[in-house]
Amino acid sequence: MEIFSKHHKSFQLLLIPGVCLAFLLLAEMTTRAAASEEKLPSPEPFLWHRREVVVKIQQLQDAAPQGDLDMLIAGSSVAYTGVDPTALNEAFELAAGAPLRSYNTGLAALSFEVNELFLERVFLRNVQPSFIVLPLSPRDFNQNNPITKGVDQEAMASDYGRAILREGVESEITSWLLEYSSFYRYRNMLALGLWNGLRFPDKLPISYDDPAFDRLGFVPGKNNLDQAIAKGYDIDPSNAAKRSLQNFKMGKANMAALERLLLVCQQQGIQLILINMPMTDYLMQGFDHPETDYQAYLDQITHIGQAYGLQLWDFNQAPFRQMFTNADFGDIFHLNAQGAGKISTELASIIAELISREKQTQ
Amino acid sequence: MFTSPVLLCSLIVILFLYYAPPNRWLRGKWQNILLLVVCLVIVAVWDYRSLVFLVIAAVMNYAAGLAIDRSGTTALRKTVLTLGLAGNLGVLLVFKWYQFFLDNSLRLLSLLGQNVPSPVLSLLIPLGISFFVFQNLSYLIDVYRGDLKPPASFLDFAIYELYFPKLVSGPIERAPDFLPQLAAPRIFQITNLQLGAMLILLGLFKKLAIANPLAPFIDPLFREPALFSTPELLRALLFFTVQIYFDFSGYTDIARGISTLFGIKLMDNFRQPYSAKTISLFWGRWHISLSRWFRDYVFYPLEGKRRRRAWWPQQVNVLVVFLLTGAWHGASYNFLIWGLIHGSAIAFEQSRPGRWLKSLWKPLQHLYVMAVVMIGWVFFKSWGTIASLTFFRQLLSFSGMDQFLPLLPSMIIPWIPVLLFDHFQSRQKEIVFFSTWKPLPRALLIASMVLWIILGSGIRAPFIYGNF
Repeated sequence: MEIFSKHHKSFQLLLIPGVCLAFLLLAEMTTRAAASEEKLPSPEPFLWHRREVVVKIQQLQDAAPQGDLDMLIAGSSVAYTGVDPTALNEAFELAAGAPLRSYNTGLAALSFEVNELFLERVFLRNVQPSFIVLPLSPRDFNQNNPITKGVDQEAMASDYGRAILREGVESEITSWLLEYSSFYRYRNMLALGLWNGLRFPDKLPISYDDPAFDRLGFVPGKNNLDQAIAKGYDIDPSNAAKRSLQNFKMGKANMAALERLLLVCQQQGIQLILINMPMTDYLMQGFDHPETDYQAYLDQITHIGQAYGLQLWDFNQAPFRQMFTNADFGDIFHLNAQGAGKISTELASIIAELISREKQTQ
Repeated sequence: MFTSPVLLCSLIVILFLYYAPPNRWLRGKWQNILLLVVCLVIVAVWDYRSLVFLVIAAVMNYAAGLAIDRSGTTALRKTVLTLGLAGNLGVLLVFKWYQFFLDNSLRLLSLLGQNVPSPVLSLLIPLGISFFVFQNLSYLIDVYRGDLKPPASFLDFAIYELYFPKLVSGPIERAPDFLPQLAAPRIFQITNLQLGAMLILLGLFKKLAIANPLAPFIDPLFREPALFSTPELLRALLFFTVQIYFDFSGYTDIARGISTLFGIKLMDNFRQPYSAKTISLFWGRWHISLSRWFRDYVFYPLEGKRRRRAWWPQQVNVLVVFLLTGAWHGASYNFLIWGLIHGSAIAFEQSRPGRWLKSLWKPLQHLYVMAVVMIGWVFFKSWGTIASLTFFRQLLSFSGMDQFLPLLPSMIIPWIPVLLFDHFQSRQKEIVFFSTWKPLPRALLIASMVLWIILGSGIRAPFIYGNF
């Protein structure tokens, strides 16, 4: 037929899309076959920006196979080093005489906005907790924090990030492709494997060490800040601390995310416990204007909590702050296991008291 | 930026509007207005804060150009030119070098026992500032020399300044080549559409299929070289050599492709640089718009009447030019060292002992070029001078050599596309080597490229030259 003559314009016009389609189908079939025969490792670590997300989802599902968990602890690394679910569960049982099952979903270095998206769209789809504990830090809310900016971008650009955390056409297309196309789902691993001389990596090849989470998502910090300083640990606020608090400005998107979470919790009957985490004096020096910047942060989260009838438990103020010395911190940002133990014990009493007050009013 | 599907899809609508008016006169005006609006919108989306700076700078440079052109006396023309050049260079110094000077001054004072607290001044670096400033410098000098009449319409000048395909990472287009293209209405041509699409595809392939997937094997190793073995570092260096070439030339291909769709030709920036047999030839093929800029506006004026008189004054000028080339890339000692390495290699090639290089066996000449280029890339890529030295120390420690053979295939694989592309492109006078191929081989190549683009599309890495 004339149209199949290679000189025919229609033929030339259809040739490129036709060959593209044939190649794609071939790639899809080959990938499916290789995946079904388990010749390729699971693509999971490459679909999120960091392996820690995969680890946490798996741990959460193991901790609550039926989705029945009492409490989630959510937030950034300040949360996953700051509240120890095991200590919390034990202290609660002592205080209230009833068991508590909690899990720490904290993810490193994300802004509050993106952290809230993970909580709402990833973790809360796996469990229905009665409580969410939210340990907060001004670093999570600073819209000029270059560290969170970078990690946010990584998270939102990852495959699942685009499919689950975003909205709109691109998100829909990505979700569809991830669901129905093996070639698309395995493409990162294939690309890296091919450039790696046909050796397929099973971990994300990024320079980020997975924190050593215990089975409940907690990272017990081993360092002691006093000892670390004595050994030469750099506390100069012009370094990392300054970078995360410099040009401090409470991001509107972060505040909107907090409000969204308050609303979601209200609608789903989840009780939210807002905690302002203790900060070292060294970190406070990381603000350009320590007093006014910090006060702006504190005022705004207190105000928004009050609007939803929630109290802010401020561990950076008396009477709680006196409980913490440098020996309770692992570095200038994070509590160590000892500090986390103190907070978890206090938290258990607070929750026990809240529950008992609630029972009395009923 | 250029790899965003939203931008590439929006282009279809923009191009339809661009070529829509049937009337020739109306089309010319309309196209320029639309082009400027598109540039403003795209720059605002990329970084709205930069837009304010770029627009103000464009107005000032246009005014300076007019003042130079219309000034009656040479003294006045020279004064305006000096002010214009100082203003543009001042902007570059403040935005890119301020922190470097400040940090080094404070370090020096600290060594002298004076501890002065570091003042807090975080400056937003406008998009493509280095490219933008150099474009303005050449414009003012061209007007002063009488090589160019300032455009009568600010609209044309504003497009030249803010033209989005070249704004962020060049090429550094010269006004005498660019502005005349805006004078006549652009007519829709199917050849431009085909060529533009092929250039964009080629650029996307270079960036998404090759440069980006190499990033995870490069970045962590340059960040902490002490943690890795010799074969791993060697692979990272070989990968970076490929990555920077495909990343930057990929950007240029996409920029030229988009511009071709608008009927505006941008200059080529790369011509098989890794095939060069000397570093002088390398610079005739790598970042051509920058090397020509330095040749025409720095090297030739420095040479003046002394051109070709003695070896050493000329080589001093070569070193000055390459130090400035390094400084153009950023405020760090590493870029200065990188520039010095290239300048010294060229000075050596021009010397008597250096001429012996030309008598060497050709593969050895290529090896010499690649060795100099790759040593330079270590300084270019590393996070600081100490990190560069650590990289070399670790590389030459010959640690973990048992990994060499297992890693060898992966060291070679990324060079296959470099060799193939350069081989095919060097045999073609056409802008894209496969544009003249027969339909079936061309379709097979395009389909393979699409497949590889999808394969690499999940691994994100910013354009390397986006930082400059």
